[in-house]
Amino acid sequence: MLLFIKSLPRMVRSANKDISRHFSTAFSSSLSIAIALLIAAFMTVMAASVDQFTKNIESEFVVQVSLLPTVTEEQRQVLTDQLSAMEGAGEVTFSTREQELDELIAQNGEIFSQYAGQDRNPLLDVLTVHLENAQQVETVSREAEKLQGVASVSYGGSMISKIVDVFDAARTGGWILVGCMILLAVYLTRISVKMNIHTRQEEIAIMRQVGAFNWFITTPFVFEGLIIGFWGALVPGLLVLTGYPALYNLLHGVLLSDMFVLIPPWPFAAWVSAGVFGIGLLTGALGSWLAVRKYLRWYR
Amino acid sequence: MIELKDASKAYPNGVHALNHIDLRIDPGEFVYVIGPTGSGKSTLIKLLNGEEVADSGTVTVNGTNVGALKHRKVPKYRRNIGCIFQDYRLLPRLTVYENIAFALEVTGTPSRKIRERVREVLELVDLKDKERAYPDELSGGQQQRVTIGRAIANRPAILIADEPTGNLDPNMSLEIIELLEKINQTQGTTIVMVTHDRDLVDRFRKRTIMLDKGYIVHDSSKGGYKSL
Repeated sequence: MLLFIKSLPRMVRSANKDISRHFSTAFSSSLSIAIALLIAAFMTVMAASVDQFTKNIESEFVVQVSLLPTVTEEQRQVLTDQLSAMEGAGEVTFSTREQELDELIAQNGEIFSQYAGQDRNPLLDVLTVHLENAQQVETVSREAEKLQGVASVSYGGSMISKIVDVFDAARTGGWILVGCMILLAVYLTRISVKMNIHTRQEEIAIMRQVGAFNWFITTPFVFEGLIIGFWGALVPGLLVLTGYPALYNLLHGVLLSDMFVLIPPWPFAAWVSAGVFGIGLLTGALGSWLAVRKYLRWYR
Repeated sequence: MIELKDASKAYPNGVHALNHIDLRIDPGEFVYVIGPTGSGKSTLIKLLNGEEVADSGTVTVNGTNVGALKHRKVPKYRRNIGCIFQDYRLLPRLTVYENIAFALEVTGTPSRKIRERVREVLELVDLKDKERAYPDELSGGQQQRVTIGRAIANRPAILIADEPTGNLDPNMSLEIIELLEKINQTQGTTIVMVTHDRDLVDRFRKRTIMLDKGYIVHDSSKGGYKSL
């Protein structure tokens, strides 16, 4: 162990020398690690934010149950009880057709005021079910439709849930891309280290001859991989560390509307950045380990 | 002490490189190993430095059964065996000083001790004035002296020289054999020298072992080809 610590400076020097010897392959492996990590970092920030978005959106999920004009007050009370007893349902509120029209006018403009008046209002009384669990939206709607006195059921979340689905698909595709890029980076690092092993074949033979331990021969190559990984992680890591807080401040913590609240940058950006560096180092180490295992197998 | 008892080695291609070798070399001896190409000289060296393991019999060097050594213990064992080759095998981008220091660096010697030892070795191989030179700036004899310096840097008990004069003219060969004699006498290092050089073997008479087709055909303590 003491020998290992004492030999560290020499091994790091040797690793650096190897990188400069085959700079172009080392650079391309660093670059592919950088690209992979850049996408990964972007995806992580997006994924974490989307989770936050979805939570905000989910809290807005409601089911609107329109009642037939023939429904009496007693029947409405029964319906209210039935709806609130459903799984996932929370509070059930009532609004009259006049209130609904007022809201429509408030949201969409005066043009709808032409429907004002007892005979002209085409809207129906509505029971609004606030959901405790957004996943129950479809079940609650289906059950509500079967109840007597119900004219129609609608829920406003369908568009949003489609957006979330698209986001999910993009996320899956993105992770596959990141996985492929990391594999490519591992492969390129392996090539870079392999070339250096071949270049230093004679030196390695002499090292073995004069009694160097195998770890003494192999460790500089693993360091080489770690350095390649570190350089690859540097730009994405720093970008997350400085870029995300800057973006957060620029947008005042929200994206488009209050519903899309961004995650506070600290300690979030630090964690993502640490993750980026961790993956970069692991990728480099894995690439070089694969090369060392294959081309520097210990023999007598 | 080197001791081979009934040692045999065959390669997967069917070549029987060594057959039932019994050999004993005492500490501080200087021994020539001669024989035609394919007689088993290189295999003998490989058995001694732990690169190959005998199929049968035992190879014992300074009390260590080389064949039974675990893989991870081979590096430490090798520090006790210095090797010199016909083609020098120096690192071209390192100076004379650095080439010798290399053997000490890779075994984890502290830098102060490296400096001391390299100076000693440079004096011994008479290359003090060339310590900053690169291998391609040296003559063949000087390069071989650097190789010898590197081989003895770790103070090995045994020095194996595989045709050290094979690439050198007679004058330079003389220089090398004189240096090996000096190391043998002043440091007490056992020297096993594989050679084809008849003149040297006859002129600097030492115990001479002749191999042929994997067998020891002569072992003469008088030395020289004429004694065989």
